[in-house]
Parts: sequence; structure tokens; C-alpha cells
Amino acid sequence: MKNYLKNKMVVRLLTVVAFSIPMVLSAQDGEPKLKLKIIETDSSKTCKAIVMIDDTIPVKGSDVNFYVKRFFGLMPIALAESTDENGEATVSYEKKLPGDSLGNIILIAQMDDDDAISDQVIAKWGTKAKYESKISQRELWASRSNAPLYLIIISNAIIVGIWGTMGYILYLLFFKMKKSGLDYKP
Amino acid sequence: MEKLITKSENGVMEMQRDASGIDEIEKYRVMEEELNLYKEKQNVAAGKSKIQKYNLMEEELLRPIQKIGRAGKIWIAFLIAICLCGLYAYYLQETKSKYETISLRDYTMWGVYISTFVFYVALSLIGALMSAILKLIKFEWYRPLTRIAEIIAVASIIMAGVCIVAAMGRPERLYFLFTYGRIQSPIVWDVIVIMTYITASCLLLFMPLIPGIVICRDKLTNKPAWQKWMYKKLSFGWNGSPEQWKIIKKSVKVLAIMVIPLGISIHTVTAWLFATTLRPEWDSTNFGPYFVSGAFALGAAGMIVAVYVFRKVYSLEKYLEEKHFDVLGKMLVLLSFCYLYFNINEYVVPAYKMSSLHANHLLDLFIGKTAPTYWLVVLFGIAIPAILPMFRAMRKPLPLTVIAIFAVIAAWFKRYLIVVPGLSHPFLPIQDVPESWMHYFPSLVEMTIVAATFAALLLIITVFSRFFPIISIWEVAEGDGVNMQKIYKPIKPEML
Repeated sequence: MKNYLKNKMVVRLLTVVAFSIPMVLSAQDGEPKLKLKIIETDSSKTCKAIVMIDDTIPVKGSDVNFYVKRFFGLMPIALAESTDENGEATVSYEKKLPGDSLGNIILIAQMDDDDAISDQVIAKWGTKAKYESKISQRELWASRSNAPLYLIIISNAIIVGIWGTMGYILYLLFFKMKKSGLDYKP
Repeated sequence: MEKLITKSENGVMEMQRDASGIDEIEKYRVMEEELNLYKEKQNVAAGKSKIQKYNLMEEELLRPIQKIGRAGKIWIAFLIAICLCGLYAYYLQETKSKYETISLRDYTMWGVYISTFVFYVALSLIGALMSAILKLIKFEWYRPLTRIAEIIAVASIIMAGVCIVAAMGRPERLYFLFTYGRIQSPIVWDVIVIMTYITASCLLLFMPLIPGIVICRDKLTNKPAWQKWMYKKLSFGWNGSPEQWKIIKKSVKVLAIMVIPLGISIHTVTAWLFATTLRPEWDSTNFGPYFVSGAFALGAAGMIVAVYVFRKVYSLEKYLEEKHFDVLGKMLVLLSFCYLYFNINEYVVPAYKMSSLHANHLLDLFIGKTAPTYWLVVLFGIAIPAILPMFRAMRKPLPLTVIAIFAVIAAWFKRYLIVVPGLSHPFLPIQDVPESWMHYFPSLVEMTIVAATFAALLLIITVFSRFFPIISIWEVAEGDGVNMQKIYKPIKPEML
């Protein structure tokens, strides 16, 4: 009975230890998270990426890439910037890029090893761009209602001309032909 | 006796008196009267013979409509059976998964349907060529051929429309083309020009047919009531009045002028469907004339085959003469050489540069897996029709028809070679695509539908020729000098 209880205690102890090992390990190697902050003063614009585990443990020596989002893909502004002992990588933003109509650009920071670890911030650092929709004007590639006027006029003129002629022939056939036959006295 | 009339040095007629003292002028008058009388007798005899000839022609050309023989009925039943198979195949295509029923995929999205569509559009140009161009430039030998050309044009352009519907799938959405179509799109241009050409071709077929329908109405009295009613309705109150003749001739002239640019437009727009698509193989400014010249060559070949068949089946050797084969053969040579010229521009010039964009396609055609088909098409579709009919013996009906049959078959494969290999070499290579995307061979459903369109084409032509004269009686008679306005006897207005 004593042995049985002793064995049971050992099994319990071993079970607790077995479960606690991965928990301890995971606590030590927790997934790092990246936060991007922008700092703007009168004379400078700075992007700061902070890499931390559980928001408490800074990750030192990780490479971070900084980008600006384009229509398709990303435009790098600084690559492989290493984090310091505080888990921070800082780059200054000195570009003059076109933003949206409000001057907004999207800044993105990504871990070099794993681009799934990333963060993005909207900053009013771009120049205000005036976008003209290519399909809202009368163009060949525009929608049905915005077809070029010259195309509408030429095509309709041809269609009306040809169908008008055929319509005239049908008029002769359906109206003039029979009347002429009925009126004919040789 | 002295000379009655002498000519002086300055060319003035001089009358002289003879020894008996009778006035020479009197003698001359008597002779002139005798001569006029003789001429009048000759004219009456000629007129009678013309009328007799016309009556015989009318009888001979109405014979195919009088009675359909056993072979004719079997032929019609055979064509209807193929059409029904095609309808069933189309039902399968539209109700089952298209991935299973047809071989069209993301790469080769245009297969045999569009190849056959282009073939039919090309064949339809025959109407503009034979019926309009020859008529306007007053080549008299066109007269017996015009209606054959017109019915082929109408039937083939209708079948071109059917092929487009089969290729599109989802026929219930066809009206989207009108509700959402953009005038900027060549597809919409094609739809417009096809509809216009169908209408113009039907009118060009129908207007000169009215006097023929009237002959059927008046002469085919043994026909069922519905057929007589049809002839009556379709004759549009024709009574042979001068104004009615004027309407017919004026309409035919206007339509003949209009159908030439329309025919060229329909094939050019079809070429633009390809040329405006971003595929290197079709990226050619030569495509419009290249297609049009091919269509003219196919039209001539198709015409030769049709004329031969009608001549043999309906025993029309008297009207579809050897001289017609002779001129059609010469025309085939000329048009094949034109086609050769545009083929050189289309293939040899890019092959000289052999840019990386075109190399895949061109090498595949010249020495790759499609090379046997390509060279057979060049041989039978261009070289043989351009060279052999240059010899008189080859312009006889049978050899010329054999050449033309091969040219027609080669013309279909030519369209297949334009459509399919071009699509198998996409502009932007995509990796890891399914195997079935990179190869195309038509499925049984596709082949059945295409076969049904051919059967329907032949059915339209056959049925038409069994209800209406396949040779325009009044046009041939006019060519022989018969005054049709005198021949036609008006009927009472209440009978119209």
C-alpha cells in the first residue's frame, strides 16, 4: 500500500514536471512581436520598430526592414536595421513620396526572418496627390457609358446609314411593291 | 445594170438612172422594204425561239422543286439526324460540367468553335464576291451563279452566329452583349457587323428571288396548299409592273454596292478580334487583309464545289457550263496568289527576324508538332489551288472540283492553325498549370456540335434549293436577251 502511494506520488510529480517544462520553455522563447511607431518633430521624421517578447522582453540583434506600401508590392526605405538592447530599430524618413489625396502613406516594418511579424502605420508624410480615374473619362478602355465621343458618333453614323438603307428597301418591299402590283393595269 | 448607188470621192451617196429609165431611188426603196421585212421575220423567229428557250429553261429549273427523289429525302434525313445529334451534344454541354464535356481551358479558350466561326465568316464572303462584285462589274457569266453564292453566304453567316453562341456557353446570357456591351470592344463590333451582314445578305438573296417565287406561285400548281400560300405571301403582290421591276433592280443594285464593304468589314473585324488580343502570334497589322484574301480564296473554292454538286445532282449542265469552271478556276488562281502574298507577309517576315516572342509559335508550325498540318495546309490550301488550275485541263469540272474540295478542307484547318497553336503559347507563361491547359484536342461534344453546324449549313442550302429555283431564271433570261417585262403575264389583282 505504501509502495503504491509512493509510486502514485512519483507519477504525479513526474506529470507536473513534464507539463511544466514546455510551459517554461515557451515562456522563455515566446513569439516576438513588432510594433511600429512614428516620431515627428519639426526637423525630422523617424520610424521606430520595437521588437519584444510578451511586451516585456526586448529582442536584441533582430533585423527589421522598413517599407512604404505601393500600389503593388512594397518599396523599401531601409533594410536589415538591427535592434538594440531595448529591442528598437530606428530609421529616419527623408523621402518625398506621393501619398493619397490626403497625403497619407502606409509605413510598414517587417522582421527580416519572418515577414509575418510586422506592423503598419498610416502617416501624413506623403505629398497630396491628385488622382484622375482613367475609367471615369471618355477613353477606349473606359466603361460602356464613357465611350469616346468620336467612336460613338462614327459607329452610330455607319449603323444608321446602313440600317437606314436596308430599312428603305424593306419599306419598298412591304409597302410600295404590293401597292404597285394592285394598281398595275397593263 | 448599172450600180444603183455609187459613192463619190467625198463619200456622198449618188443615185443614178439605169437604161430602162426607172428611178434608182424607187428601186432602192423597194429593196430596203424587202430587207426590213426579212429582218422582221428573223426577229419574230428569234423572239419565238427565245420564248421557247425561256419556257424550256423555266421547266428545267423548276424540276428540282417539282419532286424530291428518294436520294434527296435520304440526304435531308441524314442532315437532320446530324443536326439532332448536335442539339443533344449542345444540351450535354450546357447541362453538365463544361470541364468534362469540352476541352476548352484557360489557355485554349477558343477551340474548334471559333475556328469554325472564322471559317464560316470567310465562306460568307462568297456572297459579296460572286453576287455583288461580279454583278457590278458586269461580268455576264455571273448570272447563273449568283443565287448559289447568296444562299451559301446566308447559310454560312447564320452558322457563324451559331458557332459564337456555342463557344460562349450560357446562351441565356446572350442579351448581355446588348445590355452590357461596350462599343469600344471588337466583340461588339463583330456582333453588330454579323447581324448587319445577315440582314443585308438575306435581302440580297430575297429581292431578286421575288420574280422566281412568282414563277413558282404561277407554275407549281400541284404543290400543297401551305406551299402555295407561302409562295403567294412571299411574292409581295408581284404583278410584273414596270415599277416593281424598278424596285427590284434598284434594291439589288444598292444592296450589291453595300454588301461589298460589309463583307470586307465582317472579315476584317473578325481578324481584329485576334489582332487586338494580346497574343504575340496574332499581333499583326497584316491580319485584316490576310483574313480577307483567305476568305476570297475560300469563297472561290466553295463556289466551285457548290456549282459542281448542283450541276450534277440537279442536271444543270446546260446552265452551269464548263466555261463557268474555266473562269472560276482562273479566279481561284488569282485569289490563291493574293492569299499567298499575305501569307508570306504573315509568316516569312516574322520568321526572318525570329524574335523570341514569335519563335515558339513559328517553329512549332514550321518544324514542330503542328508542322505536318501546317505544310499540308500550305500545299492544298495555297500552292495547289494557285498552280494547278493554271493549266486548262485542270480547269475542267471534275479536276477543278477535286482541287477545290481539298482547298476548302485546308481552309478549315488553316483557321484551326490560326486559333489553337497561338493560344497554346500564352504571352505570359504561368508555371505549374494543369496538363490539360497546355494541349488542346476537341472533345466529342465539340466535334459533334461542329459537325451539326456543317449539316445545318448543307440543310439550309438543300431545303432552299428544293423550294426555290437555285438559278435565277429572270437574270439568266435577261442575259440571253429576253425582255422579262414582256414575258410576264400579269394576273388579276384579286389573285395577288
